[in-house]
This record gives sequence, structure tokens and C-alpha cells, in this order.
Amino acid sequence: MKPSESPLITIRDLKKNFRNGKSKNEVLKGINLDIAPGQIIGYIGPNGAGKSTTVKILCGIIPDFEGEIKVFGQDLRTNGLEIKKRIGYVPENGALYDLLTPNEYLNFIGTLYGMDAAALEKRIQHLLSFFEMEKHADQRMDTFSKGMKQKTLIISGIINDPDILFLDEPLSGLDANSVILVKEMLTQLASNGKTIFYCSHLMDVVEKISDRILLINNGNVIADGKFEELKTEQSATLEQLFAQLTGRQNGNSNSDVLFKAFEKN
Amino acid sequence: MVNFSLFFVRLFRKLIQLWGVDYDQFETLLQNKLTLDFRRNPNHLNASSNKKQTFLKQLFIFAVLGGFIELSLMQIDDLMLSQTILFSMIMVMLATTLINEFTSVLFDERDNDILLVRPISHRTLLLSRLMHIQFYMGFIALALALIPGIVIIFKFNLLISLAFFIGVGLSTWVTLLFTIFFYLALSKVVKGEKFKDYVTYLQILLAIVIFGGYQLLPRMIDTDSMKHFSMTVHWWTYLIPPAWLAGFVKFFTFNHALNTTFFFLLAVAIPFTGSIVIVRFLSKGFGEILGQKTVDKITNEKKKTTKENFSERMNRLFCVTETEKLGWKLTMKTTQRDRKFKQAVYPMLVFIPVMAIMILKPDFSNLMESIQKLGDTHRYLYFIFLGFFSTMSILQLPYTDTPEASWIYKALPFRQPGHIISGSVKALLYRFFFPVYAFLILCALLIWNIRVFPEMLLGGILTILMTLIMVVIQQTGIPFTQARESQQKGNTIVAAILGSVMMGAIVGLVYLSSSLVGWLILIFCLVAIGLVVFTNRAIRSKNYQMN
Repeated sequence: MKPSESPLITIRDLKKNFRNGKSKNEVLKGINLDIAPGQIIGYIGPNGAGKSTTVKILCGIIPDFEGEIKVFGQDLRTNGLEIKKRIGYVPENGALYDLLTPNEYLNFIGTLYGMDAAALEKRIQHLLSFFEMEKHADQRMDTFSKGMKQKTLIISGIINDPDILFLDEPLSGLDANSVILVKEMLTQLASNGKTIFYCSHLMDVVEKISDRILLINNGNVIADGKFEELKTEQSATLEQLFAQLTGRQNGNSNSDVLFKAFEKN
Repeated sequence: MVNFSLFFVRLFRKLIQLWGVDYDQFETLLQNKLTLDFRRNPNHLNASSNKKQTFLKQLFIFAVLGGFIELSLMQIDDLMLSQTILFSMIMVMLATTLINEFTSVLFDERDNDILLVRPISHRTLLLSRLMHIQFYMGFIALALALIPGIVIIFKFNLLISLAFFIGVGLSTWVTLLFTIFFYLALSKVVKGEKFKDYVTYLQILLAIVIFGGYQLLPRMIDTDSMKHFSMTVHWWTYLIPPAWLAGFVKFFTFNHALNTTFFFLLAVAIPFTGSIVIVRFLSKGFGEILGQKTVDKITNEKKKTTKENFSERMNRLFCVTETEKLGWKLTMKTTQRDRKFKQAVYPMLVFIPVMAIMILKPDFSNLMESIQKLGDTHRYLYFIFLGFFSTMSILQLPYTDTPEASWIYKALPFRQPGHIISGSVKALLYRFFFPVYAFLILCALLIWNIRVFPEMLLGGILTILMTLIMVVIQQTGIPFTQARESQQKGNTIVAAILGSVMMGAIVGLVYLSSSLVGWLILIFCLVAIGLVVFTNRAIRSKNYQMN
């Protein structure tokens, strides 16, 4: 699909409750969004704000939600399978089958997308070499460091050449060189018209790479726009803006509490 | 084994596609699961983690079990009757294994983040999980059926034996379908964490039923009178799945009586239509169960109770050092919350009433009189023995699902692992042994009278002493630090046998002391308490190696 003017993702009044017996926890309280193609969206928010939940709903991991979501103009509830063919996801928890080798794992994932074996083989080779992983392609991942596993995960997220890529804290465990590689990959993908949904707590990275920033707190979007538009007199960096909007204006009181914690009797 | 199974599955390709499953994805998923299962995890280098070997051992045990079942059915002449009983036993055993060991495979949420984002339909995912389980169940069923199948060759002929094996294959699939159907229905009623809880209760309940059933059923079935008995078919017989399969086998004796034909048709039609119904139409519910499980845990903000409760007061009474108190608290909290711990321990507790009935053999039609008769015997000594089963919970103490967390014991400046263990052991005794034994004493006092109290008391203290000695001998590890999979299954049995022998000695000792006067027994008790304190010191001061 060519990038067009119509939004790629539309979210209308998205709500999500988690129930456990009688207790109920409202995680998303009515989110409305339109996302255009070819953008890098920085999706930020405090711990427990509902970032991962939003992404998991959009990827189809959590099937029941309230509200309406359209991706590629198709309803997520009814056309989930078609949508999933064209999205990629890099989970935050690093879930992969570490008894396999990167080659085996990527082959497995690619086959699930119904990719042609030869084309898949070629793509795996290229991507592994881009991430400087050829040496380790046939070693079992249970001996890998977190960064090496993370690279395999990122490759598995783009193995199907997705139009939308969801990344949940993708830089965790990566060394400085690999971080550069991932950033390079992101800008290239975006310039090819791919949409990237980037969740992170690393404010400086988000500030630099994002075309548009979404700040979510307590299940609501509280800021939405380019960083240049959002920043104010008091908040020259995204970190300051974040602190200002998510209710930590009064820094002093907190350090008092910290001081008290270490007080001797 | 794996390649053969994949080849076998490939034969059904067309049929599987008919159920609305993407066959290529399905085969990839299945192959991946089996590869992972049989790939050795280098983190557990001990032999028990070699799944192939463990599985073969398990199969051998099932084959022997099948032999015993056949032995008890040999006498029955009527094919239909013997087959119905045989299939009932096989299916009950399969269902139990399925619910207890493979539920976690069915609802495995660990690869949710890997699989649910891929374009895999619920149908494909469900079928790949079912087939993955069917792989193990199929081999278990074959092992169970091996000896009965061979006997059939000699009793009847090869064709019927073959029909029997096909019937066994069908019975596995039917069991699997019924179980998943049950789970799907359950998930409609209870959701989320509650669903997990109910599955755990079910597993515990099943363990009880099976244990009780195997003890009591043989007493109830009178095979002699069944020898020439033949099965009459009522309308409700058509509702019993084992009867369909028995009819399926009987069909090959070229007995084409109307009801045999009907059973045959049911045995063939139900697995196929059932598969279509479940895979094609109900698999959405399966996706919902998986989706619920991805949900991050909800943190319930519970009110903090400032009042010191009874258990905390006991903590201060029994535990001396701060580290010991810590071990007690850790154990109390974990045993209340860890589902798997409950699952391993509660069935052991249920042994106690079942065993009590087996040993005392009360005459239920004339309960009062038989209890009065009991009062003239020394059978209360058995009660001391029964209390021992509640101490077996200690075997589960070192195991956890999150062994990674044990790094704290290595990282912290922590010199007293023995104190943690002694605190934990005390907590388990307090939580499981004390209430059970108090109840047993109460029963003993009601049936006999106050005069048995000193002996029961002595027995109880000696049981505690023995438990502590076992902790020393068995080198029980630091609580909740070892992977549950690394637990050697045989250990429980060894400990049970060793414990039973020691309990025998204790009961003998108490019996001898019963001829003594009361105050002498009380002195014995004091000596025993002294030994308990001494052994507890030994546990505390022991130097444990972390590995």
C-alpha cells in the first residue's frame, strides 16, 4: 500500500478494564488517535500508564477491548489476521525461544508469515549481517547476552517487512554501537513510508527520533504533537516536559522523603 | 519419534484443512514445539532433565499399569463389557494426566508475545496445541494399551487387536476434545485469575478422586460374579464414551447387531464432528483465554492489618532469631499464594482421611458399634502414623517457579541460611502438621479416651523429631530457590518409604511405652523435646552451599 493521506491507524474511544473477580482496574479510559503513514511516533508515559496495553491491543495480543480500532482501514476485531500480516512487534519482555538458534528462530517466524523459503533465507542473511550477528547465527540463544537476544527480537519484528512496526523499549540491553544501528534502521524504515510506534522511557532518544510525541498518563492522552510544539518556557527538554505533565513539579518534597528514609532513628 | 509423528499427522492434511486450519503454519508450530521439548536445556545438566529419557521411563510405568489393568479384567468373557471397563480406565487415566500435566501446555502464556502477533488464526493455534498434547497422550495411551492389546491377539485375533489400537487412538482424541470443551465452558463462567484457581482446585480434586478410586474400586468390583455377566445396553449406554469405543472394537468381530453398529458409528463420528465443532467454531474462546493471561497482574491494594494475628504470635513463640522469623514469614506467605505448592501438597493431606478409612475399616452400616469395638484395640497408634503424611510438605520446600530470585542469598551479606531453613520448617509444621495432628488427637480422644493422650503426645513430638532429622539427612535446600523441574520425582517416594520405616519404629516405641505409667511417658516427652531443640540447632548451624 502506498502512503496516502487517510490515516493508517484510527482509534476511537479505546477503553480497557482488567477484571479479577470483583476488583476492576481501568487501564485505558477512552483514547482517540489518528496516525498517518511514514511517521515515527514516540509513545511515552509513566510506569503503569497503559503504554504496553495499548500496543498489545493494537497488535492483537489482547483481543477484548471497548471502542473501535481501524488499521489499514480494516476493523481490528474482524480482520485481525489480515492486519497482523502487515505489522511487526518487538516485545519489551524479550520473549523468544532461546533453545533455538537465531537462524532457526527467524526461519520459524518467517514460515508463520507464509514466506517463500528462499526469499526468507536471503532476508535473514541480510538482516543478521546488518546487525553484525552472522557469527552467532547458528549458536543457541540460551547462551546469548541480553543485547544479542534483543537484536534477534528486532530482526524477528521486521522479518515480514511490516508497514507498521511496534517497538516496546527496543534499546534495552543493546550496546552503544547497536543503538546506532537501530536508530539508523528506524530512520530508513520511516523514510520508506513505514510507520513506527516507539514506546520508551528513554526521553532523550524519543525526543530525537520522533516526528510526533504522544504522552499518556492514567489511561488518557495528555499531550500530542511535535516536540517543538509541545515544549514550553519551563520545559526545554522532553524529560522536563514529562515531569511537568505527569505531576512531579515539586521535586523538593520527594527528596525530603528520601532523606528521611536514611535518617538514623 | 518426532519425525514419525509429523509424518503421521501429514496423512490427515486434507482433513485438517477442512477444519479451517492453515496446515503449513500448523505443522511449523507443532514441529517447533516438539523440537524445543527434546532439545536439552544446558542449564539443568542432571539426567532427569533429559525429557526423552524421563518420558520413556514414564511410558514403561504406564505399560506396567496397563498390564495390571488387563490382569484384573482377564476373567471377564464378554468382549463388550471388558472393553467398556478397559476403555473407561484408560480414558480416566488419560484425562487425569491431561488435566494435571498438560493444562499448562495447553494454556502456555509464555510465548503469547511471540505467537499472538503473528497472523495465526485461533483455530491453527488451538489445533497445534492439541496435537502437541496428543503426541504425548498418544504414546501414553499406546503404552497403557500394549499388554491388553497383546492379550486380545491371543484371546481373539489380530484384526480385533488392531481395531483395539485404533480405538485407543480415538479414545485419546475424544478425551482431549472433552477436556478442552470443559475448559472452554468453564472459561465462559469464570474469567482471568479465577479461571486458573478453579483449574487448580479441579486438579487437586482429581488427584483425590483418583487416589481414592484406585483404593476403593477394586474392593467394590467383584470380578468373579462378572465372569459370565454380559452387558445389557440401555438408552443411556449410548451416552458413555467408553461404550462407543468398546462397540467399535466389537464391530470387528463381525457382530453387526444394530447396537454394535450404532456404537461403531458414534465412535467414528464423534471425534470428527467434535473436532470440527471445537476447532472451527469454539476456538475463539481459546484465544480469549490466552489473551486474558497476557494481562499484567493487577495489584490489589489491600489494607494493612496492624493487629498482630495468631500466626504472628506463634512466629514469635517458635522462632528465636530474626532470620528464623523471616524464614517462617516467607514460607507462610508463599505457601498461601503459590498455586503449584498447593497442588503438590494438598493431595498429600487428603491421603490422611482416605488412609484412615482404609486402615480402620469402619462398618458404615453400624458405625457406633464398630467405633466402640475400635475402642478396645490399640489402633490409635495408626493415627500417629497418619500424622506423618502432613510433614511430607517439607519435600516441596526448596522448589519454586522463579529460581532466579535466589540470587539474593548469594548477593546479600547473609551468613545464616540454616536459620531460614529452620524457620521455614517450623512454619510448615505449624501450618500443616499441627492442625492435622490436633484433629487426629481429638479423634483419638473421642474414640478411646483421655488415657491415650500421653502416648499421642509422645508420638507427635517424635514425628517432629523425625521430620527435623530428615531435613538434616536430606540436605533440604534453602526455601524456594530451586527450579521445580529439577525436582527428582523419585525422591518423594524414597522419602515416603524411609519416613514410613522410621515412623514404624516410632509407633513401636510408643506402643512399648504404653505399658509404662503416665508420668514416665511425660518424661520421655521431655527428652524428645530436648532432642527436637538439639536437632533444630543442628539445622540452624549447618553450613549450606549455594549452587
